[in-house]
Amino acid sequence: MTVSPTDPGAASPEVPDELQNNVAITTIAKLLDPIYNWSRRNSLWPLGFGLACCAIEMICTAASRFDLARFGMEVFRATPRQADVMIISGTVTKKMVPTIVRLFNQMAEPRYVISMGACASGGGPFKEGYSVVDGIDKFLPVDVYIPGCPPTPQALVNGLIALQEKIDHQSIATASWYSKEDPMADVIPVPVLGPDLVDVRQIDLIKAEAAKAQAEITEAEVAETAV
Amino acid sequence: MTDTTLKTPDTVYENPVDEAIAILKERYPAAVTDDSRENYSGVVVNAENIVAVATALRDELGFNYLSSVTGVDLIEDNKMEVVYHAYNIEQGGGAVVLHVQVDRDDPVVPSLVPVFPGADFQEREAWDMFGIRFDGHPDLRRILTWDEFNGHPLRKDWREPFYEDDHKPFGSRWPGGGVHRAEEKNLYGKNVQYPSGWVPTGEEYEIETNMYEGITVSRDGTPGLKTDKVIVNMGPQHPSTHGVFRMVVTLDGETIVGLKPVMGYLHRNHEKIGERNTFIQNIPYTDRLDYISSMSNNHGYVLAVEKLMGAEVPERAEWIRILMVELTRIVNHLWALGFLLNDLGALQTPMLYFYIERELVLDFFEATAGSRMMCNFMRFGGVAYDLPDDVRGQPIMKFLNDLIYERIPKALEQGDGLMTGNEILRNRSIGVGYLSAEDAIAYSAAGPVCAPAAFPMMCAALNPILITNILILMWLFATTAIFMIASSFAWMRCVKVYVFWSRSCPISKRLRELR
Repeated sequence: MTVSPTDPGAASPEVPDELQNNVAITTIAKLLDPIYNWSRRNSLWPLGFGLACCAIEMICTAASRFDLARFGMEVFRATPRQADVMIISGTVTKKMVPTIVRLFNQMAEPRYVISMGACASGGGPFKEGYSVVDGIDKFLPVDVYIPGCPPTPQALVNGLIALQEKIDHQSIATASWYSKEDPMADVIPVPVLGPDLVDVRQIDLIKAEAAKAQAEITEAEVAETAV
Repeated sequence: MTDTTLKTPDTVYENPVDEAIAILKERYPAAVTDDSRENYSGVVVNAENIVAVATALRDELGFNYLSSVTGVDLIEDNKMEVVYHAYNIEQGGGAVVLHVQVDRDDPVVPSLVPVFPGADFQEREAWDMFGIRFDGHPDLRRILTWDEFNGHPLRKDWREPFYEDDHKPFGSRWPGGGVHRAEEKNLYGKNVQYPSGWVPTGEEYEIETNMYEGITVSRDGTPGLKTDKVIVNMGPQHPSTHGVFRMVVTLDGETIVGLKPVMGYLHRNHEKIGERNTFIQNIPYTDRLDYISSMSNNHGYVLAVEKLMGAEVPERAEWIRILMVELTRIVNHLWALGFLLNDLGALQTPMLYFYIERELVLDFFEATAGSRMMCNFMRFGGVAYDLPDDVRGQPIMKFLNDLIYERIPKALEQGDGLMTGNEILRNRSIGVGYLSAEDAIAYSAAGPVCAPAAFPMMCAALNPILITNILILMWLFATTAIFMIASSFAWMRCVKVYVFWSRSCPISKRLRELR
């Protein structure tokens, strides 16, 4: 029995007329997606990982009053290999960001990132400072941003529900983590700490700038000797 | 000089600080001079003599507690200054303030670590932030930034990547109301800058090369089984750090024989931002210093500014402040007790007991200040708002009376019942991580760290110092984590004091009178 991939829900001619109303034929993905997503969305295990002030509200959210267990999310894992979602709860400093990227890379797919609060989303009140990363989305793919400084537990719960809705719309068939094309595509190169934080993806740009500066110096020297 | 000369009856000094300064000046006439600048206290000491002066101060004059070592950039005089505050623990009273001024281009000051071991981290911070080298320091590494960091950020002429102006309001934004994203002006689209002409390789960053220096792992010469010691990095992501703090731990079997704390993972450059801010713009930043006790931080800051301004606070506002600060303190202690259990291995469940009353207090804060945690409530000369009429649907005074006289004492008694007699907790706490009173003083321990060493006058007798220095906070946080185990019973004792305090608490009564 074959089902046209373009029209999976259409009645198949191979099913007798009298059974057309009793049999639903669909793709495996369409059949499995709701079950698969239902189980995933209700057992999102966060990484037990607090960065700053927002971590305190995250802990409050997990405690009895707001009770993340209602959503199946109370199991804070200490290791990234058992976690599904990383809640970036607080200010990301330059010293910390290599660790965060490494933790993200260690998480098994499917993995999600929630940027909790102003600092994680864009640097917050500390953006202008020298030791702070102006938003974790400069390094990690963020699924949900939660505003607030810090967001209230209600806001965090709302963000997690938004993530659940996002999961509802994902499909096994199209999920990038099952794609055979480039299994390492989602791995983020770990930033390094030089004179300032270095995003490895920008090394060519930094080199070009250095060459430009060097050329300017040589030019000036040449001009000087000419004079 | 002996104690007898100290107590000569013919010279009468108003306080031990004046007396100590007079003796120092007499003893080192060439090296110790009065600070002639207006509104400055203390004495200026020659850099060469600072170790001798500090030794005399500690051993002979009894000023045995070094509370802070601070760098100051005097860019106009082309000088770097190091300021030391030393206190006399036995007598109490104010601080002897020592200023050491050195050339700004090559600032070198002899290290005070041999005299006051507590100077260790603070001198490292002054090196990191101001580039002042401390000659003779055993381990002069950067402490808040990382080894390769370019420059010393708290120098007045050092500029951050998103630099706009020396002070707010920034000219580009006010009064015209210009808005822009700082990333758009930065070549890399990020909060980064590199020295001109610096060529990265992307591979060969020898991070923390000197971190592991001085840690020996071999155990040659010891009898018995020959096994090396093991270095384990604990943190910055670790279930028991519940924050971002890292410890480089040397293990001999299962025993920790060495520990190097690594901090700076939450260094948010409050000071540099504070330099640019107006005074009132700093209040929200103080909320975020120690984010579990934001009201207390607000209070410390506004008290300092009020002292500078000579401002008076209405009595009702003062009582409201004290109410807020004390509730914050209870919340903070409850949190610490909950996490102590967490850290001892009773994961997650026991700490839920300590959060219930915290939520009530946070509801009160939210009703009053508009935010649960970052209250931004105090102002110079008062508070931002008066108390609300209702909290959680109850009249304010009924709510507060229930909370202070009923709920919190019961919660503390419950916590006491859960913890104090608990055999596992006792076994894991008593005698573990022992800190003697002498060590606590020598290492400049403060607050809850020194509480178990049983000298409460540390907290009470010293002048209230405004801690604008994030290092001290981070360091307190760090050492608190380390010594919390030892201090748990003292903590419980402190908290129990609140049970008695709350029963005799005059605050709500007084507030009603002032209404």
